[in-house]
Amino acid sequence: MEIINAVNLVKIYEDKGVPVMALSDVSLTINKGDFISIAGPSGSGKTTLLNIIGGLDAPTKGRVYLEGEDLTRMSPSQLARLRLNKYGFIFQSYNLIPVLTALENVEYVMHLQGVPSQERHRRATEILDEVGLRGMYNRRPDHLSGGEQQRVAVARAVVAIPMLVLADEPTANLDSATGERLMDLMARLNQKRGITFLFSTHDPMVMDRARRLIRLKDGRIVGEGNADRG
Amino acid sequence: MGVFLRLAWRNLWRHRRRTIISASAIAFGLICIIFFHAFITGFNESYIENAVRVYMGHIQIHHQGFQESMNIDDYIADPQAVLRIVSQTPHLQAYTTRIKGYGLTAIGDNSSGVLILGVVPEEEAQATFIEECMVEGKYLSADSIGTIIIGKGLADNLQVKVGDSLIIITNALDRTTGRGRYTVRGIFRTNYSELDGGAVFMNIADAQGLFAYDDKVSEIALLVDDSQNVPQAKRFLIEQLGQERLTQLEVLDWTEIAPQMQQMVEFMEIFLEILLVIIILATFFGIFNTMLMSILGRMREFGIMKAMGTRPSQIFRLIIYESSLLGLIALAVGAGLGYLVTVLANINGLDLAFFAEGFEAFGAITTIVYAKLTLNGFIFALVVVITTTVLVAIYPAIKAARIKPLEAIRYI
Repeated sequence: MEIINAVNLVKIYEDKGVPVMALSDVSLTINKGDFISIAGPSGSGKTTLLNIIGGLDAPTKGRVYLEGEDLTRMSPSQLARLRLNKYGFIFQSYNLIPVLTALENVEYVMHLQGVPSQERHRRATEILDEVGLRGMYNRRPDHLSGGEQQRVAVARAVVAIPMLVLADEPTANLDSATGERLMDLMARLNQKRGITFLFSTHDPMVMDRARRLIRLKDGRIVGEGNADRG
Repeated sequence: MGVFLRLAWRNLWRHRRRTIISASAIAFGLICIIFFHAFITGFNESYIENAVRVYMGHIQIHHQGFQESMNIDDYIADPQAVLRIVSQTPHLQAYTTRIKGYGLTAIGDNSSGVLILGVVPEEEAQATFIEECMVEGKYLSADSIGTIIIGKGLADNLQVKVGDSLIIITNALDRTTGRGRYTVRGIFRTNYSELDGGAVFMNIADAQGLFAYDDKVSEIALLVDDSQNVPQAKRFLIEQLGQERLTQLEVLDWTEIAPQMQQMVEFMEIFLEILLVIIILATFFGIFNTMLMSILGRMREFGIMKAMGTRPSQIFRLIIYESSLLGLIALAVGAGLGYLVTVLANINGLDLAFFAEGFEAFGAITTIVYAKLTLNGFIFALVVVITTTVLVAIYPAIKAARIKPLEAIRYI
């Protein structure tokens, strides 16, 4: 089932008065349950594409449809509501709220959604257990390792069962072993809970783990297909 | 506790030292506002009280025009009728009847113009501080006929001491020259230059003889229990005197008798307002920069929160909560310390002897000012400080609330 349909996306930035083409006529669809990697070198437009699909940025041209609704025509408050209820975000540098504990960070989105306290607590502890952080509920980010923080970020992104999780180079700040464990975790969540993941990367290990790989170069899709598992 | 309140509280303690410094600055501002408000209130009240109790009274009744002319022909013909009304005045604390006129006093080759005050010693002592201002000799008594008390300045000027005799000459009501020799019974010092340098108090019986006044008097001065009640007492007197057809008399309150005093009180109130504005602005700008830096330093965090679906109004609320909590901490400390400082200044008073010369010009008996903390003043200080603290956060809060998530995430 198609959940995202991005059509002819163009994004032109102004850099010191000089127009820079970040995306050029990019089209793609994302289906429910996909585990997609957008791969490409730095400056290829991966993060820009993720931001536009996630409603954090607007394309210069083109349309993004989420379940048939055009994101590019939505107001900032509609987009905020959409991000809250339909998306989960995992950022490169974890970006947990530093004054909240692991448990509170995971509960935060559900707080915004108005999920009752007991239900919040149950779901947050369950997902923290699943990502291997049992017993670390009350630790603040500065008392967690990078890998642990990123697992909290994953738990936070998936706890509200979003339609799509967008992960911008999620393993970039992790060592290879921790990065692999994180990919195992995301793959497990994808298979077990049916959560759709779209992540950007230039890490070959991450590309290998994707079931679908989209290659970007200079803002254009230069290759697309099922990842080579051979 | 709501998540934003919890976040606000914890954010406040991320930079413990910065928060403590900011809270201290606000608390200090609050202490200053509470203290100066109480100090100026106390100063004004003691200034009015001093002037009123030294001699003037809250209200005076004269014949129309007497206050301006001091003409001996402008007398109260039937003081007993007036006193019957005066004795029923609401909030009356004391009254005194006086004969009042200018004259000349001389001893040997020295002479000086004087204000002659014929008083009922007991009444005058109840209505004014004059008995407490005696520095040499004794105050007048009912049987102290033929004696006077004079101001310290006048005594020094005429080189007179207790026991010396002075000649006093004045125009009498019967168009003769009133003349008498009086023994100095005591010397007073009020720090009120008009009295110390040129006033002579004598028994009213002596003054009646000197001015040929018989039972007439020049003035009845009243003291009420609180200066707030002056308008009510004055209204009553005007109405009652009107009913008794004593319309030739005028009823003046202290602001009309000594308008310069009212101006002084107003000046002090303006001075207080300017002082408060300076304190509030200093507090405002003192914490504005800290607050702005604190918010700008967390823009990326706000961006992440917005990316996850936090609404701008929730970011705005979070920052306002932070500043409100900061203000409340400062309020608890500042209000407590401000109260303590003001209560101490109320009990012990503040000796402004350093400015004593200036005080003498105001007619102060004492250089000690007792701070007076009013409920209104206290609440005013609290409201001003909490409002200031919240206002300080509005600009940074709007800035944080309006920033686009992507811009904020890229914010360095």
